[in-house]
Amino acid sequence: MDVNKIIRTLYKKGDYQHKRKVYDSLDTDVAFERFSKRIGMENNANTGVTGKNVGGSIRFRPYRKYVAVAASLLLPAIIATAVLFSNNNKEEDMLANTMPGTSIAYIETSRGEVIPLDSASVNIREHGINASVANGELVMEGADEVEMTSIYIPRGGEYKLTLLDGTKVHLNSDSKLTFPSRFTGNSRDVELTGEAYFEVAHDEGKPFIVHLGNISVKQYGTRFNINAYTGKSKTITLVEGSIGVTSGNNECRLTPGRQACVSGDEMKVCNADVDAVMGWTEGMFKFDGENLSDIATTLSRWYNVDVCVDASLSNCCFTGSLSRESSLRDILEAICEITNTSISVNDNTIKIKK
Amino acid sequence: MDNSGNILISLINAHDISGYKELYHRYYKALVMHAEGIVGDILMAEDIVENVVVVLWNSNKTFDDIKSFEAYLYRAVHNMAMNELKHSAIVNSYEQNVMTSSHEAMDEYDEEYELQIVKLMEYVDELPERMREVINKSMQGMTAKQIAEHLKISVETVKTHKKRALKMLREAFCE
Repeated sequence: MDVNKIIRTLYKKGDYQHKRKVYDSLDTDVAFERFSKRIGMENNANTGVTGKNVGGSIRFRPYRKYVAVAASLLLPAIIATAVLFSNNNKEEDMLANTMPGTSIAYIETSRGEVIPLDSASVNIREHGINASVANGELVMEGADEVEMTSIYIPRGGEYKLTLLDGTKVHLNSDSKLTFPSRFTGNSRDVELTGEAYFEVAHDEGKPFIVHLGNISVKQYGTRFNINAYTGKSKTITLVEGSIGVTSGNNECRLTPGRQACVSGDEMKVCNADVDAVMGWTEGMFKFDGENLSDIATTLSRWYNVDVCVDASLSNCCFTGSLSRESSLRDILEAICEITNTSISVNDNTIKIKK
Repeated sequence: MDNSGNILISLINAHDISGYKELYHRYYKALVMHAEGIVGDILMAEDIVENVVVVLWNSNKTFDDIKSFEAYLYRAVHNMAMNELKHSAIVNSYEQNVMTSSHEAMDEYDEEYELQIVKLMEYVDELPERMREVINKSMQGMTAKQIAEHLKISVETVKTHKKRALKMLREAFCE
């Protein structure tokens, strides 16, 4: 009998609520205790053993073996249930309190002052910065002096900004962009750690160069995404236009839809899943056969919690699109359901395990 | 699963109390539900099931397999519940007509039904909280829209929860 049929029968009979009430009102342990007492009393009343069973099968059976077998069957189930339930509440609390990221950023001036930004509209005319904030976007405005400014996005944040030359940058969580208040010289140089999507304003005579440590990405007017978190291979994905990537002695030119992966001294160019790479800029997580530990890192950044993956799942991958606005709980539920894994919560760390 | 059934049968045949404990864990709720469906009273239904188990304990009855054991329990509970029903019908003749009509309808029964319901409810209780709330309300006949309003979540989320919950239940039943 399958579950659909039972549910259909329950529906048809309008039985569920009533059966549920009966089910919930019953306590098997209490009932069994009542039964034990009763047969204990009956046995006493009948001088130890009920008449029919005298000399019968009850007294010298090898109980111990059976009890041990029965206990070995029941105990793990009981423990598992207990663990499940005791964990559940904590898990629920932790997961329920974990909100998706929002527009948060900090500006760090060359003099070391830090100005927090949120989505409220303000004008910043201090510490050598001339900028305005509207709808969670920072727009840099003209400045007399050339000052290096950094915009830093913490975990659980994202932010958009427009540089003075009109280049738009969308910064993902746990990322930092350093740029001058005014572009002087022959090129427009900025420095990035983390992940950002660039729409570079066209200026033939002044290439826009993104520096990622010893890697640089140079272009003239184009759209591309850079994923350059520390401790990871860095990927530069071109959406439109043309860019050159330089790393040490390696240099390559990307055409749209291609991606450069730089890991140490090595640089590889391959076809990119542009849709998946760009997902985050459209408020989506788009995972395409991505390793669970990489997914965990992405979730850790966006939800500002620590998500880790059990070593036994190092080869486990997930494919799917999920909204970045979803609660962490919904995201994890979806991933666990598909990868047949489960979650445990310990000291604010969420672990994906078998 | 099969193996634990065989162990249970040996324990019952050996007149071992741990077998009766397992009997309670496996069948008590289902049997009470079945009796309750006939007599319409939870306490009376509990007494009926207890009496059936006491009678079994006091007998020398042995069983060949789990199926015949289940069939015996159901038949015994069913008959005892019917007797109770007839008895109370005589005591309260006002209800007699109602009782006899339902009596006939009751003689055909599906042994598996309550067992499956109990299993279903156990699995429902193991679902994550939100899915559990959604599926409980849904099975009580609430629409997705009503549930959404009740739990202050979107209709889409309700549907997703429901779909996932049914999937999990289906998988649990297939195991």
